[in-house]
Amino acid sequence: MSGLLEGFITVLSPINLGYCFLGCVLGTAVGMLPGLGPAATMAMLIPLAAYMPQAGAIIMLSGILYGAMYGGSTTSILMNVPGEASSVATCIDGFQMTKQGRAGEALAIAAIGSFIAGTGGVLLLSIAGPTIADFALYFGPPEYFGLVIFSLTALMSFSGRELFKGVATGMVGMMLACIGLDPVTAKYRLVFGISNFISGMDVVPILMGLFGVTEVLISADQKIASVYQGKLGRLIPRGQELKRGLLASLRGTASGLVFGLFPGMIASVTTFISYDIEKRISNYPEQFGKGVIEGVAAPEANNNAVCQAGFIPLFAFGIPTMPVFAILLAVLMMYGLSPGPLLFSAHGDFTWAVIASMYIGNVMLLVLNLPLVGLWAKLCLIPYKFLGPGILGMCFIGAYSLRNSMFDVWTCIFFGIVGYALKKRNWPAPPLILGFILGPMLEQHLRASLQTSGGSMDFVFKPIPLIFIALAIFLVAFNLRFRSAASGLEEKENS
Amino acid sequence: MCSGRQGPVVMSKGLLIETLLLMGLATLGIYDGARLLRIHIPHDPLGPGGFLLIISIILVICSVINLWVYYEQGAAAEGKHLSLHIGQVGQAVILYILYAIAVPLVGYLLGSVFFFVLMVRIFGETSWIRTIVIGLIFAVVFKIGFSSLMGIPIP
Repeated sequence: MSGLLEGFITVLSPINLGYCFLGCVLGTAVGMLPGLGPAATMAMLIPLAAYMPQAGAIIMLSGILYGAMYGGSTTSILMNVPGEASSVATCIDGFQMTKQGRAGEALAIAAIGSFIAGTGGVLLLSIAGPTIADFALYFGPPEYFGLVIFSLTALMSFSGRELFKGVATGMVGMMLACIGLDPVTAKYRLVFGISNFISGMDVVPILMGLFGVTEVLISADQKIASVYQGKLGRLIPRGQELKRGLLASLRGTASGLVFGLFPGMIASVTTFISYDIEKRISNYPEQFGKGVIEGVAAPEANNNAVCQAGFIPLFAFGIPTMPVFAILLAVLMMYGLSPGPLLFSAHGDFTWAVIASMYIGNVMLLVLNLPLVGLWAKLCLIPYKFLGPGILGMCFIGAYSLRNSMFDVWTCIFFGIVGYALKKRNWPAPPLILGFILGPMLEQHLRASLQTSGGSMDFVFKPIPLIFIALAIFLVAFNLRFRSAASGLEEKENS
Repeated sequence: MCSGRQGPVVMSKGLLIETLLLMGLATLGIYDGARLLRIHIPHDPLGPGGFLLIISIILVICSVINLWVYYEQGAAAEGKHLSLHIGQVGQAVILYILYAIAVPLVGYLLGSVFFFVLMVRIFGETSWIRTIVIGLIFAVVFKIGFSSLMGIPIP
């Protein structure tokens, strides 16, 4: 509690409040704009983060992340175009409410639900974060090995239509991370005489290429829909509708907080689970898809809760549950901050400031999103022909500024093309970046475990690694069974 | 398992490229991993090459599965074909590459003026006057904003 109070004192300085506000505004804006996501924005701003104070940079980047969850609902509701992948479920009933002249109510309940979820998530992080981080003290190399195996399996399993594609791109990511000097023996790996490879690949240009440049190229392929021009209607739902919306928000929050703790449970998946839960427990399931308030409230609360809960494994173990957390992890590593118990003890002032900023950020976002929703809707009118070149320009400068090297610019462009090709060929890109970040951790803990066990794999039979590996096997089996059942259903419907 | 394919199996260009790329990367990994495995490090059973070898072998397996899935499910299993037709995306990529080549030669400001003007045009602006004005604004704002105001190094 004292840590949190000190965090508030730190955040309430004008400069940190300014970073928090900037993050919230940017996040809301990018959340609303189809073709520009929080991952791309955060990746582009990483080079600028090097010039900012530590706490300010993480506060701003975190603000972009959860701000985007608020903003993504606006285009879903007004244009039937999800601003973010996590807002797809909101389109189903949100746009229907707009067509019925109830856009204002839909936008309001989305903002209120997001606030409830955001607050719940920050409370959980405040209470559970340090406890879970202390639990990490019992983790040695075998336990971390098991955890990383489970995380990678989960992230690869849920990343696309085919498991082997997720595994393949994950392996490619790990190979990229091997380029350069081996951390233990300093031997060259995959260098092949190319001098630029000696210092290894930097994660930031890869992130900027895969998330920034790729999004621009994909958007160049697609047309952006026009924004709804009609009236928003009443802003706040009333009576029974408000009560139903609030209860659905609480249920969405609860499911999101649980899902968000686990790697691979990305918001674009969990929001549909939350929507499905609402439909199943509803007294009028046949109304879903025709403009029910629960169909907006629950998914929106869920995506915010997943986002907030994801900070717990990130801070406690250094495990990113989603690709955007990989970006935050990259920034933490850039500042030399290792996730784990030390983050709450030795760097407690920084960590509690970030957590406190989330409380304040959620209030800022409610104020930004509720009364100013009409203004934000006009943001969707910015033509992409101006936005796209701007993003490419920022990626160019951002990549160059890291090491004053054109090699990083070429890396960014190359991975932008790779990301575009992956998307077109239905190969998932997130496992590539997660493999790049988690691969070195996996190798480090595997080698350390083998050293202490004298070369024997017996360490996997210790309780905690065994549980994680068993969970990973279960996930793979569940994934294969689920996909087999789904394709069986598809064949039946098509015949 | 029933094959979804009717008639002779023909490997598409896209699948061939995917397979060659994956196998190529895996071969590099196996080659370098095997080379490093020969180096014996006391108390480090895996050494610098073991992990690389493992992930390369998994990559080979994934490449084989990719081929098998295509054989079993047919062309429906593939993603979209990557056309070599230079559409909007191709033009944007070529221009971006030319920008990266030009900037070290002609300087950031001049390179950026041409880049932003042409890129705004590629993205759909039809008026040349508006294109040139917006392109110039972008180039100047980026140069002043990043370099002069924020002190961020630019090429």
